Amino acid sequence: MGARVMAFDSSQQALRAEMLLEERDIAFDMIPTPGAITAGCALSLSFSTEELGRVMAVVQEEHIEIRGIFRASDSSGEGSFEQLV
Amino acid sequence: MNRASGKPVIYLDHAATSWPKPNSVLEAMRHSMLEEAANPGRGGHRMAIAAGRVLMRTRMELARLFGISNPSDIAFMPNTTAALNQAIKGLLRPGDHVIATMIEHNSVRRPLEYMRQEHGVQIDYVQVDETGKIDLLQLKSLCRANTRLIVCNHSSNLLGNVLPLTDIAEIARSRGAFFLVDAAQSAGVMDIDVGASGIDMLAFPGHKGLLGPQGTGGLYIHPSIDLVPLIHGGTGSQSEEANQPSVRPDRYESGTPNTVGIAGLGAGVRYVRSEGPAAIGRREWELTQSLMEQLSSVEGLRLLGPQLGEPRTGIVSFTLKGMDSAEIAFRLDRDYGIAVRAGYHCTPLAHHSANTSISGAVRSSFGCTTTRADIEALIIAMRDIAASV
Repeated sequence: MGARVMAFDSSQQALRAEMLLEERDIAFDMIPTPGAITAGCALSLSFSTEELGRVMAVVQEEHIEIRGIFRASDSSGEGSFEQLV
Repeated sequence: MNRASGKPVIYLDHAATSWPKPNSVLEAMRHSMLEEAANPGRGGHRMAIAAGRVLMRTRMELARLFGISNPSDIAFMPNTTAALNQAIKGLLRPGDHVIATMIEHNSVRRPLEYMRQEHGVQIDYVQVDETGKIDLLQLKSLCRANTRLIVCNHSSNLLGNVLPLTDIAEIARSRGAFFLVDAAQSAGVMDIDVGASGIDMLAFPGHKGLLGPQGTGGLYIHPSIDLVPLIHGGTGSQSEEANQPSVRPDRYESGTPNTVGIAGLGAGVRYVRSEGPAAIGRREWELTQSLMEQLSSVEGLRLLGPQLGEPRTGIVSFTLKGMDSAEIAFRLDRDYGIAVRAGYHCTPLAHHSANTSISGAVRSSFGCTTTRADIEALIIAMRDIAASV
């Protein structure tokens, strides 16, 4: 789906984020963490650029520990990533 | 009445472990084992993710039950003892001072004594009266500049009395000490709110009042506290790092967890939340009152713990003049099919406080399946046994 990838250091943090985003009807996909992102957890959540604000609000309000939120530096999504948060 | 080994059993040993469990607990465990018991956090396939969701859902149920804002501050442990060991050994350093009470279980006392002998930790035990009531003035007077931890149970596993957590937490806070609570006998039968009660760490069993299977339990750790993990190893996360991760709950959960058990625990907590811990505790308290009223007229029988009308969890312990507690429990089982526990209940200091160090005591303990008929059976049996002395 998306142009943004949220990566984690713990699968439990990823799964908690998944449940909270679902509860708030924020659209996302669960994806394998792209190899270009060094993260401790194999699961990441991707979402559209428009949802970044809502996702960040959930992360902060619920104290979810993330490795970071990234955007693909090229359009394919398979190359390098730039860390936004 | 339930059946085990083909013989009818009246199970009055819920303080050791609750039995039977709700059907929903069995169903959750069966479903987990049949459908999704892969290794959570290891691998990204759908079964591993489903297993991970089981852990997170149970964590969220527990967080709602105990007023914990972030479920990641709960680490699963195999039992309360492991949780208490993690809290005590992970926090204390040489030269630290700890205050506990005279009614602590060996799951607190033994780790503390180990820390005293091997790591130079200093310990004081606050006196309690014969009914288990704690001396708060003495607690205050025992606090020192290096007091790092105050630890106590919420309810004694021998006497059933309830400790004033909020008062103790206030003393801990005012002296700059952390407050650790052993909720082995209260989780699931009393309302517990870690924030409102000022609890920094809460150790709880999954298999007693929370109605999960044995092999489950947990530790809540306030986000400001960083414990040294007792167990280091694989967490399925940050695998390239040599050091234990700092991220919760992984920091405290190395090794494959008890996924099937935690699935059952989640169902148990949902059951408890639907009934309400205080409502369950109230029913158990009413049973204790009926039993105490009847047993108080049995000649030679001495009831332990708080007086009639006072708060207690579903525990009624007693002694009978002229008969060893182990003999009473043996006869209750053999002749009446009643399962209770006898002896010292892993709490020798509490026996000292209750003046039962020599005799030990018989402990009957109730759960959400205990009925008035069960209590009546115990009363009739104890009248018989007392008459035979």
